[in-house]
Amino acid sequence: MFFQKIFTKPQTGANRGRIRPQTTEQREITADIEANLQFLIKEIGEPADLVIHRFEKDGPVAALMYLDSLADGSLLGSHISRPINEFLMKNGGGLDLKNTERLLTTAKIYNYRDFSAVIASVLSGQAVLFLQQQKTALGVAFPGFPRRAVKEPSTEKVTRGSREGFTDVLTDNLGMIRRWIKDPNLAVTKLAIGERTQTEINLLYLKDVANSDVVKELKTRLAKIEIDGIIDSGYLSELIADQKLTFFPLVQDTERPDKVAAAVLEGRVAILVDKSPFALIVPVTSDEFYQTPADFGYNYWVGSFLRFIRALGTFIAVTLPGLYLAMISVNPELLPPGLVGVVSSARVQVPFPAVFEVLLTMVVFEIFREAIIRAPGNISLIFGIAGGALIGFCGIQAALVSAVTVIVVVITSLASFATANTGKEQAWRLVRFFVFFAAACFGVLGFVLAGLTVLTHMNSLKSFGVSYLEPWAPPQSLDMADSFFRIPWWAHSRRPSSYRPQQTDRTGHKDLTGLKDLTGKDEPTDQDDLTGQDDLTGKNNLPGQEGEDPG
Amino acid sequence: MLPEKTGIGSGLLFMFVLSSLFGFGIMFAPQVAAESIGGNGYWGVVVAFLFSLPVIAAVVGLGKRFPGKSIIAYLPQVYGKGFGKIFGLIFLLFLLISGVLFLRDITGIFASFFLFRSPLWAIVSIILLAAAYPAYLGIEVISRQASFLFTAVYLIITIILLMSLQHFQPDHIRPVLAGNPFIVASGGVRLFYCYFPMAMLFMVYQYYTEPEKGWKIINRAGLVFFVYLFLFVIETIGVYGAKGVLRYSFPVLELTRKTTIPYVLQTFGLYFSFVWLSQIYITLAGLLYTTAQGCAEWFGILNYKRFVLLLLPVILFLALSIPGAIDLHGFIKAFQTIGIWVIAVFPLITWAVAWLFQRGEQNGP
Repeated sequence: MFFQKIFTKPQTGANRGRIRPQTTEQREITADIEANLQFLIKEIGEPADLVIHRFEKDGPVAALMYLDSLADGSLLGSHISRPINEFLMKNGGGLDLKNTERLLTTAKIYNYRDFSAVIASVLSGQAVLFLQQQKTALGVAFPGFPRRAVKEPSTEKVTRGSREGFTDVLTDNLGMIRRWIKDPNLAVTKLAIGERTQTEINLLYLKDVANSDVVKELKTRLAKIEIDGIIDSGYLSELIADQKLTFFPLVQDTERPDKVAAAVLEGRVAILVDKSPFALIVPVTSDEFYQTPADFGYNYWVGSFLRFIRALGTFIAVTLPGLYLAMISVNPELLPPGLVGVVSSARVQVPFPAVFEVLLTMVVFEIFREAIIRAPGNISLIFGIAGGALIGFCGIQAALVSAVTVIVVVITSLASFATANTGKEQAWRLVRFFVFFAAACFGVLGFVLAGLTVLTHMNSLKSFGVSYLEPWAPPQSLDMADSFFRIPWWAHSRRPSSYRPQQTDRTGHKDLTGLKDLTGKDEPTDQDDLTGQDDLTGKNNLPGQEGEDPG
Repeated sequence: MLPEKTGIGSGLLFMFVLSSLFGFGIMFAPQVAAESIGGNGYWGVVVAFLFSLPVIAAVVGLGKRFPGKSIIAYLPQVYGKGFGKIFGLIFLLFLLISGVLFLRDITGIFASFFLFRSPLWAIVSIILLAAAYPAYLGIEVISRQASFLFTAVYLIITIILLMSLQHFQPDHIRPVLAGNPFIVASGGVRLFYCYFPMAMLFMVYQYYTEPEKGWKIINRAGLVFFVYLFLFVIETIGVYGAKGVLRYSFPVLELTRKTTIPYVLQTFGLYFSFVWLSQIYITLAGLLYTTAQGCAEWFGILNYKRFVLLLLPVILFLALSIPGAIDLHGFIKAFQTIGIWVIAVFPLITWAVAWLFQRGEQNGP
């Protein structure tokens, strides 16, 4: 734990206060506009995108201040400048706080009395209006910064399910979740983390479902964070993880709002970070990384099969190179004689030992993979063809690698994408090399022992007190079945017990006696669907819909 | 960090007991059964299971009488400080020697079947180092490991057991009821060595969160192990015959090597080795952990983790000190006899003394 100490403890003598910006002292706004503006200019300098619009009528009346890069100038013109100018033309003055609030055609107006709040609001994109003889400034938000459109998430595509992915704007992302969950119990807690970035963080959870200990622990861990800036949610996931020295993700990240909504309904807590399209979810177990919304879109038989394929793909991706190497270089006696012949004849001209040959091929594939991600669209195609031709054809022809090795590495690379989460997949990449080297040294014995060691490590991990390998360890029989198969909704009555939700029941059957069904008939007939499945969608729960004739 | 929901709950205890018994006992049991009883060796398994019941009763009874304490902690309470410490030391030595002999014994398999050219010290070292990792992390991680592997391991083992029937010859196990009861009983006593990992329970029962279910859970694990042990012994003898079993050093592995799925899989040996290795990993980690934990308690030092590291060179040295297979089998035979006194007789006496002299909590059984 020597390294842990080095990495986690702050160095002695380091001035922790140095990460904080030199913030504005707590100073109140004065009644003099010019004095206020001068003070602000002194504090934030005169950045190129700072706009100060002065309203005058026989002297200064008001001043609007905003950053052109963050606020929408045309909207500010039509909703703030024009009403104020019209008022001044008509009345010739008399612009006080009450009048101004009525004039501004915006839904929300913030009142500020001290400069630190004004500076924070201007830097976050608000426009601030100072009024002569008023010690209160008004803040309005007309965001004018560029927004990315809602698109299908590139890292978590599904063939069946929602096509929405998170954007980089927190409010948009929050809105997407709210469209899924229309429950007054959905708590949204706002925090700001990062001494300099003041990055806005939202915690989302169902007050009556999420485990209160987890919520409390999460808030404590977030409150303890002292950092100059949060640029991406990845920063937070590292800072709040239970175990620092692991390569396995202990916080789930996703670009999909439907995944977040499903997690919140399970009783977990979601963390949205402004300017990051990846939401975080805690706690998480290892099984979550193999589930996708498509599992629930298809029939449960298909969903179960997909889960099995993902698990199998991951297993192959992690073990195949190690097992192949163990078999061909240390324990060939374990292979069937026919297969030994095939492998050895393919390798007969290869001048390298098996370990070097397989490692070389794996490393080249890893380099190709990294290069293709960053290459422009058209070039990545060329990379693919060139890579395939180079290794698959030329490499074998030149007898630098054997055909069987190329097949093994290609299958491994393809199978690695079966994991439904990139973070987890990256962790398995490292494990693959560990298992590979263990197998290279001690054959099958090393291969198995390396696998067991990785499993032991995973068993020692926890995510907010929940064992990483739950429901397998400790065993939770019902959840265990659900992690391997996709249990159909009609048999899935409880939330996962691994997350210890306050409310465990998830599905039920509504008593339809005395209710008119949606066709407007007084009594449901035998032909009507009385399974209650419509109720589960919440349709009958909508206010005013009960007994209404849809026509 | 939030407290663990289950701790070592019933599920984890069950998995730990089952895995450690399986890892320790399954491989050589057919040989011991065939050697001491003959073709009816499987009856010895039944006798050994019956012998295990009083041990489980002692584990649970002493656990109730001394809650939150291991045998090392409550022995001085039962026998007085001097004798208690001496008996505790003997118990610790037993755990240590169990680990050493077990490690050396299984190393032979890997040296014979998988790593012919590797030196013995290298094989012993990597197995020991790998097992030291979970031992260092503690009993919770060890039992979770057992739990995680449970489904896959026992599914494969059950398939192997079923497929092994293809070479089964009923004549090898007949006549079923012809064995001499005294020979069967003495063979059962020898086979009781399979239950030696229950010694670890005297150390870890203090962490069990649902002690009121202890008897039921440990018994259930013992019963499941008994079923597998019985089936492996009966199948190995059924396939090779009692005399045939004695030809092999690792009879169960030979059984699985012979088991095939025609046209699909030419041997199950490799898969059995994988799953069995996972179980011995848990057994060895458990033995190492309990020995380290016992040492820490005996010396009055709280941190067992240091003892895990300290014990590594000691175990390595002792394991490599055994000159050869013949000496090893001599040691194991002696150990099987001594173990009965340490695992079965001594805890029962301790339980009786505690009850007689009203040691521990008075509401204990």
